[in-house]
Amino acid sequence: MSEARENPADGGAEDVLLATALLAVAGRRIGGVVLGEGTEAGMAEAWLACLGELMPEAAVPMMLPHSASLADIDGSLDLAASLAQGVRVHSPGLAARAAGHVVLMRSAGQASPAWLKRLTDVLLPDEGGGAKLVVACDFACDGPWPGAAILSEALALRLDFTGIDHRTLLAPAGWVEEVKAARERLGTVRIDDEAVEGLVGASVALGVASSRADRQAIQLAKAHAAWRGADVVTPEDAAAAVRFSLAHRARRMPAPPQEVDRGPDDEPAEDMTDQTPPPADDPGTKGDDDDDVTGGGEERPIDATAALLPDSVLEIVARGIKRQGGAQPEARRARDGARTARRGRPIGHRRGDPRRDGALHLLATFERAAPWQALRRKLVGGGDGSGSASRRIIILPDDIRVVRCKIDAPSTVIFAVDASGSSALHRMAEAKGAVELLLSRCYVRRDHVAVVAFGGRDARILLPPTRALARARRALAGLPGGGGTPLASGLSVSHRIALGAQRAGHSCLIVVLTDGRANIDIDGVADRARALADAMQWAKRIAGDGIASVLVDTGARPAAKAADLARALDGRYIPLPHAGAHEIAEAVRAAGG
Amino acid sequence: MILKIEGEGADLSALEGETGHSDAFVDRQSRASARTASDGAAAYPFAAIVGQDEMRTALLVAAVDPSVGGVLVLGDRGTGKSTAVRSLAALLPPLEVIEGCAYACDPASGSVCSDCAAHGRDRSRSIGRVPVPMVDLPLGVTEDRVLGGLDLERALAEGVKAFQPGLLARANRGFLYVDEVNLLEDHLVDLLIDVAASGVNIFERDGLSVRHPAKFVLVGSGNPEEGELRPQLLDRFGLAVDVRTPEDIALRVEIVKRRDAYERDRSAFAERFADEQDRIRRRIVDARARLPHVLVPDAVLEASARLCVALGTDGVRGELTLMRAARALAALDGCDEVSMAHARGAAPGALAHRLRRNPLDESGSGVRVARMAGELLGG
Ligand SMILES: [Zn+2]
Repeated sequence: MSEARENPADGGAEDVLLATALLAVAGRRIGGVVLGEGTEAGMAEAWLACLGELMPEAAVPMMLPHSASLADIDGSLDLAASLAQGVRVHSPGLAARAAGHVVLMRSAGQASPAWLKRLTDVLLPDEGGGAKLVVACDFACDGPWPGAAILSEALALRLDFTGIDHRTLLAPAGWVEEVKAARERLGTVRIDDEAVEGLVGASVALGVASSRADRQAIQLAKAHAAWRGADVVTPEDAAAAVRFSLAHRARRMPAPPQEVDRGPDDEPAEDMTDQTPPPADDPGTKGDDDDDVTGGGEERPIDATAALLPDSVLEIVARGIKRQGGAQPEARRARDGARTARRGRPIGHRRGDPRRDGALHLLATFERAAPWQALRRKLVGGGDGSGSASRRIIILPDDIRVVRCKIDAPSTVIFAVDASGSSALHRMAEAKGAVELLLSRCYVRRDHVAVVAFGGRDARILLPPTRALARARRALAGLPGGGGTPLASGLSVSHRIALGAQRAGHSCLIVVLTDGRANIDIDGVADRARALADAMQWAKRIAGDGIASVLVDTGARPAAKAADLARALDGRYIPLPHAGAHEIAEAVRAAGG
Repeated sequence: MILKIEGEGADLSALEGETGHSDAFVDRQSRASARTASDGAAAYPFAAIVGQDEMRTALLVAAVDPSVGGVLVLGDRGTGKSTAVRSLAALLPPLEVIEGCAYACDPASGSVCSDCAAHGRDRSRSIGRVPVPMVDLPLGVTEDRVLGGLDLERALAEGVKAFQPGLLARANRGFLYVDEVNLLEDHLVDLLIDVAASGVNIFERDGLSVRHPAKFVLVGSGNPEEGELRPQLLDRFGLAVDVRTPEDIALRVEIVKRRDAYERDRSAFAERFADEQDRIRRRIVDARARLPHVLVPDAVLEASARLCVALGTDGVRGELTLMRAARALAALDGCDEVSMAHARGAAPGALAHRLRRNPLDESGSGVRVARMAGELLGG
């Protein structure tokens, strides 16, 4: 047994290699793996080669095509073959074809939640057998994946390749045999109740909601034991399972044990200061659900669990929570835009392949084919008018028409809120009232909402585009005030979000709430003249990219600067003193929001 | 043969050839797959589900009185929502059906498919028994597969015009489950809710005219973290319940252990819960028989109406659902009269999702309903 395996390094290539070996041992019992940070093409190839060496069935993974439609997943009628042979020919679905394979999903970051859900349901059914091993990755997508939550519920592992040289991803000598031996031993590995309770306790403490995750953690602990050559799961195995399969799924930091153990008598007074900050003082938990944190506070992690959550694991947890905080499942729908065009309301027909491009438009197809029937029959020969062939319609691929659909373009409303000292002094309360009203309207129309706050030196995305509007409200309620007015940064960040949403096929509206008194330039330097020039420049860029906007002047009196800015934005100008919350909301609606 | 088709209204009867007939084509295959989907022996026993009382109760209420109008289950992924629905379908006593009918028509019902209506009068068809169907509606499904449509395969390969029943047909008299209903396209959701409410699927398209019963309990699941559900969608479900993964470690361990035992030996596991399964089944059967005779005292009716007014739930649907759910609860308890306690128990599931709430108000409306119900439906 090598040193590296006894004491896995904190992250890095050895950690990835150990996880890979465990994956090879546990196989489809743990669903699969997401290749996370630092996955480039070269890295993925190297890692896949390594997995293939340790796990023969992974040597030739089945590639899931980018363009796989739902019909491809479920199986469908093979129209061409059916027409040619005159009998029904079914092309088998992905699940059938994937039997015995490891499935590689290359564009997982661009797939829509609905598509991923269907795929994981088919490939990784939560009940019954037939599960495959899924490897999900995406080289092209560096932002949050819309379907991240679905994948992380289904796949036990998530690998972080940050800082790894892909040339070091080589299975050490002897591992092939050791994996093989471990796989054979796996069936006999036992786990006692204490270890199960420890694992499940860790899962609860980390806010992992899925029972499947609990079961996978147990399987992974068994795999680790088998890998060590042991027959019984020890705390060491359980710790590895928590680190590899639960830490990245965590939705909250576990409650600090001292808080739970606090007694009324044995606590000296000075310790009280330690408890003043809420359990959410970790930066990673910001933006996470409040009730999750409270829930964690009440849960007393049992000793076995506490031992499974050392600081190194908590770091992974904190990173994961931060990542999820930014990973709004609905944030990106780049590829979904193209795909959903197959759905929605039918508005006509066009040429296409029903397996890929949408439902067959039968009438249009026959309409195209009809005039040619006599001629085609002659060409095909055979038709003497008495056989069944004479009643068959000859349809060529060119005739086939599919239903054309239109979906109503989804929209994203970006609130750019001035949180500077000058604005905070004035009418932020009214502005927030207007924002809430707008949010209610967005809610009804299922808009996506993002919140950008600018104040101090720069602008921050308080909330990436999401439909979870309660989060938007929380983001706004907790809006800090004070400092300078980096208006240009606020506009620049909003512009960036708008472009992303536009690429995803959304129509966009930026609602800027400011008094227009910019005094921090785009580089964060306090320079009033530059600040104003930068703000005007970004406003023009927003207008130039065709992004609709509204500027709500939150100053005590309407300001010329704010009105100028609205003109540069080519957007509507609404001075707040003359507008109540309802008027603002109405004006924004009129502007297309 | 030269086929002339002029525009959308063209008559496709020319395609039928000599085998053509206007009766719906019975796709036995799709019936058969509905059967395997709810194969009683394989399903996880309903009685073995740990915790999640609200969801189980809501499902039982819908099983006793499908007219409560569907159940929406909101909660985390991996909490076994689909397992619960599947388990319930498998627990229910098998259905008596007209043998060979693609829609599992009820021989005792006057409302049957056009096929059975045509045959029913001249000759009596034999009666069979099938498990209660539980049909999964996959995301991304096309309207054709839901509603049914022209059987393309037969149309293209044989030139026969026939109706291929869709998922609505397969779900008749059972459950139609939509996982992550918030990810389903809006127009499909609307369609499902409409058919669930009317109990009939009327298909007039592609030169086909088919009408068949589609009475099912629509069960939708949603994950609120994935984006909010439209209010219009929310209040069209009769009942809505939250389901949370237990945070109690002992319960979570029990879930894992039962699941493990189930995977290892399904029949032994089924045996372990057989008595309890029988007890629940009897309870449902008794409740169904009792339901028509369950009375709602005026005092309960009036208090419930006051509750709806106090909560500001729009329209009569909330009140109606509340009464139906309360009656079903009374029937499940073996009572002939609805008590205040039954109404109290039914109130959160029937009303909480109908409150015209501030969408940004995070305090659960269920808590509000329960509190108000405690006040107004006391005693
Ligand atoms: Zn029938």
